[in-house]
Amino acid sequence: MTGTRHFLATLALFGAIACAFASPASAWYQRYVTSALWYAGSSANSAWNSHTFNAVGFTACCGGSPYMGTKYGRTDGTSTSWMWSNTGSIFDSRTIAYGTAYCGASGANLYPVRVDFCDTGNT
Amino acid sequence: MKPDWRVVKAAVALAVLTAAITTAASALGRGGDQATPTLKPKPHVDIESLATKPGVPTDPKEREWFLRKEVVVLSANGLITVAQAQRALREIKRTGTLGGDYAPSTFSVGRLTSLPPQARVPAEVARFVAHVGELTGSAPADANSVRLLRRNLGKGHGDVYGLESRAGTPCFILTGYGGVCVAGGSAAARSGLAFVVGGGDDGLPGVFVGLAADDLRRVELLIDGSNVPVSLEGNVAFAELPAGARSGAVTTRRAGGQISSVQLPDLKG
Repeated sequence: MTGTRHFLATLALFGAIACAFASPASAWYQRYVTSALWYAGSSANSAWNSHTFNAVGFTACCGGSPYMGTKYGRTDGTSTSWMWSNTGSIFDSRTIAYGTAYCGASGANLYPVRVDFCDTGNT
Repeated sequence: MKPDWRVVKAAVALAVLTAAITTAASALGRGGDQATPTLKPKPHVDIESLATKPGVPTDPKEREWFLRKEVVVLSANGLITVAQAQRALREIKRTGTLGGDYAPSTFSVGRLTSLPPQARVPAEVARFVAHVGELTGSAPADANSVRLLRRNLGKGHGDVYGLESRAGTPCFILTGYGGVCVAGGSAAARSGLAFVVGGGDDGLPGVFVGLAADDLRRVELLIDGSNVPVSLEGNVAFAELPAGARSGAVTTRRAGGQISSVQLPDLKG
């Protein structure tokens, strides 16, 4: 009987530790944009959650050297600064405990850009 | 009809002078309550790609005249600097086109194979490596091929790691900010510099960081009209952006003499 109680107590202890360390949204992933043609200033955002990355793949389909950017929005309405690239990809490795991931085409792009994907998650 | 070279130069100078007079007159006429006029971001103009845009004549003479006119119009509207316009006009005069005398098919970074691979990398670098296949449209990258290119950069004390994708394209990441992979045919492939810009947060400044091809010789960063020193070392170009940075341009020079200039996006957006 004592052994059973000891086993249950140990099990509860490990369970409590596991709960304490588990993230409220661990290992989630969302592709929030797929195959879109974006003109200057277009953007989209993901579901609200915790994020450890925000990645974009894009193609200068229609000429020029268009920029795509990433940032995170917070619940208080503020956001991180945009991070921009014109290489055809961008991987934002900043993290946010709770917020929404954005990807966007620069408002100064002269030509449309083909957005292959915008991915985010907590993996 | 062959255009007169002096006329084209005079047109550029006249356009710039007119723009300066207009700006000065506008400033004098404003009231004192408009301390911070709204700045409209300048569009990015990749001058080298003008020759590939739709509607460019195929006839060499017509093409030359068309490109000269495009450069003059861009300069007159303040979308490119006078120096950029003069450089472009010189190239058109010499080659009859823009970007046509150079075939930048390679973006080689020897240190991505010569440096010892990193046995352990930070979690964010591991996440980046896991996404390289997706970013380059190729098979997943070899997690054991990551190289440490530079350490302890800027106020964020970030490290730059690089690797080659399975497609053979170079990729890099600056810890605390992010990274990119070079797509063939992109501005980065032409200029020899793949960069990200911005990304300031939590008291850290925005940065300009790029992976430089082996033959990249010089990087000039102009932010809001002022030259910002760029440290080019170990195939990595790095600079911190001044607080309140709004706009800028990057000019690169490769060993073959190829010069590329691109406008940066709106850094306050």
